[in-house]
Amino acid sequence: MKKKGAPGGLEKTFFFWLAVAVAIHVAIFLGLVALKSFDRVQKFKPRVVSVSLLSLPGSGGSSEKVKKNGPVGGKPAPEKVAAKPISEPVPKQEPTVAKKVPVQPAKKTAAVPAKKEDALASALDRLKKGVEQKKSLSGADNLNMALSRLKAGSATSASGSGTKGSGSGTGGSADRYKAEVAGIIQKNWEFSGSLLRNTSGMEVFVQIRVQANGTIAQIVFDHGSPSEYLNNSVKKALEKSSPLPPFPPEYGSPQEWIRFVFTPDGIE
Amino acid sequence: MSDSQVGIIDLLFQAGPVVLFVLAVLLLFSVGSWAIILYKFGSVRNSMKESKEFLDYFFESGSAERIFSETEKFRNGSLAKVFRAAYIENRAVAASPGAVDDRLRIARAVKREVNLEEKRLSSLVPFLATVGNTAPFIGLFGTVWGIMSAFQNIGLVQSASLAVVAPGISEALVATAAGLAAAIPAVMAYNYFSQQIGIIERDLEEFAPEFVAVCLQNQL
Repeated sequence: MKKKGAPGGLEKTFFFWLAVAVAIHVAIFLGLVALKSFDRVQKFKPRVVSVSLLSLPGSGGSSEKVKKNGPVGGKPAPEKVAAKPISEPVPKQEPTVAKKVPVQPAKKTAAVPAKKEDALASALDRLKKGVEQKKSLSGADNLNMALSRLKAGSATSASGSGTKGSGSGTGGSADRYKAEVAGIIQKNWEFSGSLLRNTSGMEVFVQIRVQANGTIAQIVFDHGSPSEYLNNSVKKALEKSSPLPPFPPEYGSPQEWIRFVFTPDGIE
Repeated sequence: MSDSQVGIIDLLFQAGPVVLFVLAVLLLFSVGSWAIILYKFGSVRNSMKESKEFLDYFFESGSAERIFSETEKFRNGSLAKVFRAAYIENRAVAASPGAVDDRLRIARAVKREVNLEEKRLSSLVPFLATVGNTAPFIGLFGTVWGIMSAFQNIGLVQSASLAVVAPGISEALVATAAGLAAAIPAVMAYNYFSQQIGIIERDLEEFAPEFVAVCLQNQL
């Protein structure tokens, strides 16, 4: 009999503590939210390196590429590349340059080699400005490579030997096109040499079959590197780069095979 | 990943229905276990304290009547309750003597009260054990489900970069964290209460015959 009143009191006590527990949980939740918002204010943004979980380095070594790129740009370049959609601005802008560049100099260079040099220089300037506006590290590398290739191309075309073998200056435009293609692929190439422990023998020899409209129809790996990471990054870069700019008018053939050698230092 | 994506609220909003359900269950478990912890902590501590005080008085005073009158002060003490039950039964036996042995009747009454007291003390405590055992697994279930969904999304996006993989896994891991947060205090409290209730039960078993003897002495 004496117990009869007790459970009601116990129940009341229990519900009181239940309310206290709910209040504690609400307080903890609000505390966590407040803590997060406080963290956001003082958040330190570290450098972000885009890492692909699908392909890891097979054998490795130190990287020079990251070190080279580091001081050039203040922002971490890989983050930008990872955040962007695959083939947005690069292929669209480049073809316009590619179309303009070969048309004018190709006709003039056949007659006057000196004027061709000027046209090349102006084209290079335009390329340079475009690349500087983007402030892209890989773009800067690309520009340097394009410059060296164009210089080499102009030298060879001036001496009468072109890639296409016509000797009439079309070889120069072909080299420009290839340099442009190499630049685009370089831009789309997400690769960090720091993930390789050993860079010796890290070369990937690739041939791509490009159709006249710029579509990469076939990728052939002549010789892969021991690192699956490097091989996969090359494959991804080539896939990302398709479609390439269409062939310049000097190209007569409906398709072309272009060879590249990918090394941790860049595309050769 | 923007800053807003890392907040807890954002994680909850981005979580799937299964993960949300798991989190809700874990929240209920946690609230329930904390309510039991707070409630039981008070009642067990009071019971221990008042039992100890009652025992001190019991050994000081020889008269059963005086002890009985003092038990009013120890209403939460388990030993005091058992003594009250023994004394009341003793009075009833004295008032209406029956065929059954007096000692046996009082002993039965004491046993009944001891059982009631043990039941009262250990009520709700098994819930803590249930939470402690199941909450991590429930959380793990939420995590596994969340990671499954995350990998499906990764497959749809066709990208395995850290930016794509990490948020989904992070959302999923919240469930495991919640499970552990619910389970750890529950297990700790269960162990504490089990030990304290065990002590009280041993006292009850030990002193019950003494209470019967004191009551019978008083009757004589």
